[in-house]
Amino acid sequence: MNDGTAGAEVVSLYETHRKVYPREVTGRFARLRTLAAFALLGIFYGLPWVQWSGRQAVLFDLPARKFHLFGLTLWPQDFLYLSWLLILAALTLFFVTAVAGRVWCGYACPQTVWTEAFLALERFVEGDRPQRLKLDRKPWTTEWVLRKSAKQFLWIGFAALTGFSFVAFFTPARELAGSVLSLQLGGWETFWILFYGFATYGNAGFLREQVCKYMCPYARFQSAMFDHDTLTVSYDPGRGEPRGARKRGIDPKAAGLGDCVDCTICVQVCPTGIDIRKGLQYECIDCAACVDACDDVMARVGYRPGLIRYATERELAGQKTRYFRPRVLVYGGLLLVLGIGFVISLTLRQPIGLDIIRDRNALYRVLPDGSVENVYSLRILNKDDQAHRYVIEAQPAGVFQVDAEPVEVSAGEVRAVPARLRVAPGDLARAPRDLVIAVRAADDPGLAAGHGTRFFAPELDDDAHEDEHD
Amino acid sequence: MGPQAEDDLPVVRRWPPRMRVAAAIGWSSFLAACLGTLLTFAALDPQVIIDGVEGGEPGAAPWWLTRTGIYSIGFFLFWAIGAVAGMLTDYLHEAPPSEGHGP
Ligand code: SF4
Ligand code: SF4
Repeated sequence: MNDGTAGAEVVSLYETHRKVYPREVTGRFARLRTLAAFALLGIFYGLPWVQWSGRQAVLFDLPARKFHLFGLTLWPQDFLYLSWLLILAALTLFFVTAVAGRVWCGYACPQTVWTEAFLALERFVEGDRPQRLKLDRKPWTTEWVLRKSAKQFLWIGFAALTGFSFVAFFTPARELAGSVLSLQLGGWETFWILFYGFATYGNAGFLREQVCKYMCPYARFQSAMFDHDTLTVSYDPGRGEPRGARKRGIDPKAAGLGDCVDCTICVQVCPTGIDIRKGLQYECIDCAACVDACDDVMARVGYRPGLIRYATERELAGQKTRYFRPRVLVYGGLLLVLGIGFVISLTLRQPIGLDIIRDRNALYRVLPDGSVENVYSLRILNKDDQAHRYVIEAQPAGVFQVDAEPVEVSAGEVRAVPARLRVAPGDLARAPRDLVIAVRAADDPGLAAGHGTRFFAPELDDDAHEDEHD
Repeated sequence: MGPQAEDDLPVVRRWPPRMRVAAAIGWSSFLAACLGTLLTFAALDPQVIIDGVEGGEPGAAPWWLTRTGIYSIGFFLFWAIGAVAGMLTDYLHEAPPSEGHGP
């Protein structure tokens, strides 16, 4: 690990503000990164505008306490699904890390993606690395001021757009845009747009790779998920060393040299500013910029590509990589089981909730005709997107007479309704003590929920007294 | 494309230790605050607090006292608590009691 010695720790604040000027790279991994960045940014800025049966497709409607995910609506009662989803996400990360190292960092982490976007804007305004170095050598010229202001303008605008898009996941995007345009934005929305915009600017424009180095817990944890068979960006020292500059066209073997021409291009392109030739370092975010860059150098000097490449430690030591190893199988197996369980339980999930509370004042009531009545209070929660009329029924059927009107519950509402259950005198002997009260949507008989409860009658009230106190 | 002059190489930025600690505390307490906010408000509907303040008089609460407002305040409160815990941890860890030199 390149953790710095005591000497390196004592640096002035001034020096820490010197910037890494990453050189831009072209090549297959650079293209893949750009593609991933466009896809992810596209999702982030575009998704709030996608509609789904008359409402925003993805909306974490915090003010209304419900989450819309396309056809699915989740309520606070469905918190289990949310935690389940988070566990699945974490497991996926473990699995991917064990197999392919920090691909998350290189291609999908928001920190990387937004830093890329900010770098692209910077490049657009200030030019490539040599041009930027030249520009910064002579500050306060007209050109310097113009270019720096243009960059700041773009950065701030982009950050503000990001803040808006973030809030649009929690407040309907169309309304939000309307209130921004008519300058009638609510206080908290304004605050969060500014806060998130500011955070984006700070993280992607200023902190950049320092977030990965000093703040990201995953960057530190990941070494625990690595083993000798994990794919990481690595320099092949067996092939590259001894490194050194050489004349064009000479045979490196004859000159006693390896394939590395010591051009330091791989260091110059590195967004975290490390030298991959020193081996695996925790600062390396596996972005593969150095892979592209070195392949380019190899092509120019007429050597084989792959001096720096995705490789496992075992492969570099000349052995065969073991892909199916216990760690991978355990992560993969857990992921599969939990994933299938999640899908099944989500498909079986009924968008209806039911609570039953027995009337606490009277255990039972004997009516003038001799039949016995129990009173329950039902709380029906309609978790569906549309209103339903629910019919209340008791099982086993045929014994209990249900005295309750069908109830209309609008989408997302909870309604408390009393339900009276009666048993005729002739049926008392065969009335079970345990029964199920169910509510069923009149328009969709498959949509139902039931709960077990008890029915008390004079002959059956042996243990009534203990129940009275609960 | 020959070897580069040394001063053209990117400088690896290193933060001084105090700054690293501050960043680590800020970030980890932020993550903890996210989790705390999520768990708390999944179980607690802030409307209860608003109703309590209004006392049956809708519209009596100040403008900032909305569900979003309470989520936000809750989040920053968790963040602050987490940061205080982090700072204390750092302080206790950095300044061990000096043995045998007590007052
Ligand atoms: S880019 Fe390749 S050849 Fe150049 S210094 Fe790096 S490893 Fe050596
Ligand atoms: S060493 Fe290579 S892969 Fe790692 S961060 Fe630097 S450029 Fe990216």
